[in-house]
Amino acid sequence: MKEVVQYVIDGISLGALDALLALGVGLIFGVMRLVNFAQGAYIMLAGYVLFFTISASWAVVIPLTLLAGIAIAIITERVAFRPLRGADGSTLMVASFSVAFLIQSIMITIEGSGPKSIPIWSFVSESIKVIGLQIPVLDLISIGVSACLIVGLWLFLTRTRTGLAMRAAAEDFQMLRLLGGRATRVIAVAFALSGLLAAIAGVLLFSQTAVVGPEVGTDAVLIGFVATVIGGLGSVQGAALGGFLLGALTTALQATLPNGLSAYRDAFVFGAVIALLVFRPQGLLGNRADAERVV
Amino acid sequence: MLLQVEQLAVSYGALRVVHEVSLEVSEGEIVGLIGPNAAGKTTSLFAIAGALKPDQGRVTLDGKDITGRSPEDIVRAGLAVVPEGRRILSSLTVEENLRLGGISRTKTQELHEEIEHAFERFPRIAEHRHSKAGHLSGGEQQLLAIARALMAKPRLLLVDEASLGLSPIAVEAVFAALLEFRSADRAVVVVEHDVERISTIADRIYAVSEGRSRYLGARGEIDREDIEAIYLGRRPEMEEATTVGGQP
Repeated sequence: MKEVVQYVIDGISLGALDALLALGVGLIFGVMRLVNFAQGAYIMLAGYVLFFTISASWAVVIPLTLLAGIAIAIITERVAFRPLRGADGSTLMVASFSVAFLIQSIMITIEGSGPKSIPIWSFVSESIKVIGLQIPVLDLISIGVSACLIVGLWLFLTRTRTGLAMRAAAEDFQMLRLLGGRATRVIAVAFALSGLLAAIAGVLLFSQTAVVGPEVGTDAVLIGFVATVIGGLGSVQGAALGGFLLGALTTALQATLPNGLSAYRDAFVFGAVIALLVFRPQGLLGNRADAERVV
Repeated sequence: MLLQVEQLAVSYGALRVVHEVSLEVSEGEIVGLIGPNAAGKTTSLFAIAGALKPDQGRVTLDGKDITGRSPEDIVRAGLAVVPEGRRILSSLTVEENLRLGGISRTKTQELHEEIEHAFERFPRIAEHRHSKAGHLSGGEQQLLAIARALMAKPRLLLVDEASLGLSPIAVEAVFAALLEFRSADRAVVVVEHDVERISTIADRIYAVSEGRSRYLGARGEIDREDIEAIYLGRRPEMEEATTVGGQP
């Protein structure tokens, strides 16, 4: 029984991280219909900021990392994506890959291509004992931070004018502009939020792995993308749900697959995702129009 | 003159859809824009509202040149649009749609008051205040689209296909809302394919056919043969009669 509870906590923790990755991808897709693969580079950059500053107090390191995430997202939007506004989806996607490779190349030039170990704070690798269960502090932090962010994001999207404009943009961007919504501001805020989410996801991810390298964000953004597709592209709630489901499924398979098959865990996960999309191509909370746009 | 459109030309890529559209709208007027499908009415409206960049021509609102400006700037200049098909944001609630309509307003208190005023003015949508806008009937959605556009406090309202797909009762409600909006310093342009319907509320009517505009006349003065010619696509008369500003 204890083992089951432990797996549930692990599943929620991994799902929380995947939800953050998915929300970052989902916010940008919502307003620009762009799957921003540069999101992985934002995560990687957060890792390098941690690497460079980790010797300082966490109260300094974390805000710096988050600011770096926001700054790189805003800069890439201003320099790479704003001039391409209105371009077709494939052009935007190529641009997002180009931005990702450019940031990777800059980091390789500065720090080399090898992985760097981050001497992460010792308290995050500790565990606390609750009713006989050893719960890693990092799991609790991941769950708590993600829960706060999801609630905060929900409040932002439902209670503020900019949040409302972002939801409207996800449904009909031109109509938002015809009503007077500032397109430039909405997109810039979406990028800033995606940069913030990427940086927070980066802090949680690198607190687990304690290693950063130039290609480290690529897998993370793919997970975020898949989670967004599961939830339904264009749906912020769907992105959060997709992230949690993906984390839960990954942990469940990790726990239940026999030894000989556990190496193929990700194949089973993505097989399940394909099966879901066959029956519900628009994702769990998406609508058909989004599904058709993706095809 | 509240709106003046001079020799507007608009293309989609290499394809020119609007060749030469000119019209004038004064304060206190309801101006109808009729024409067959694919004549260039909606494209002209979108170019006036800033959603499409015109290739040539000039649009002035209350004497200020708004040609090629962004839609969000044009809303702030005093022009609001009710597009074809309503384009209600169906995943948002009725109230959220109204809040969006007032997104260009800076004072929150004023916005709240205006939302309450909109619900008083349109009681049919007030009862669905917290429902998803996509759940409303076609007529209710059209009223919501008008109420939403009015949240920006425009001086000029552009309404595309106001009566399309609506029951006669719903059309009556929509036209009543437009008549109520029209006042000494405000005006309405209504795009409509149904000539009979537009003749009931428009003070003056223009026609658009094959991307060219023509002033048809004031209500009651319009020649039925002219209308038949427009809908049957007799171009030579259209070109002869096109004038800057459209007024004969």
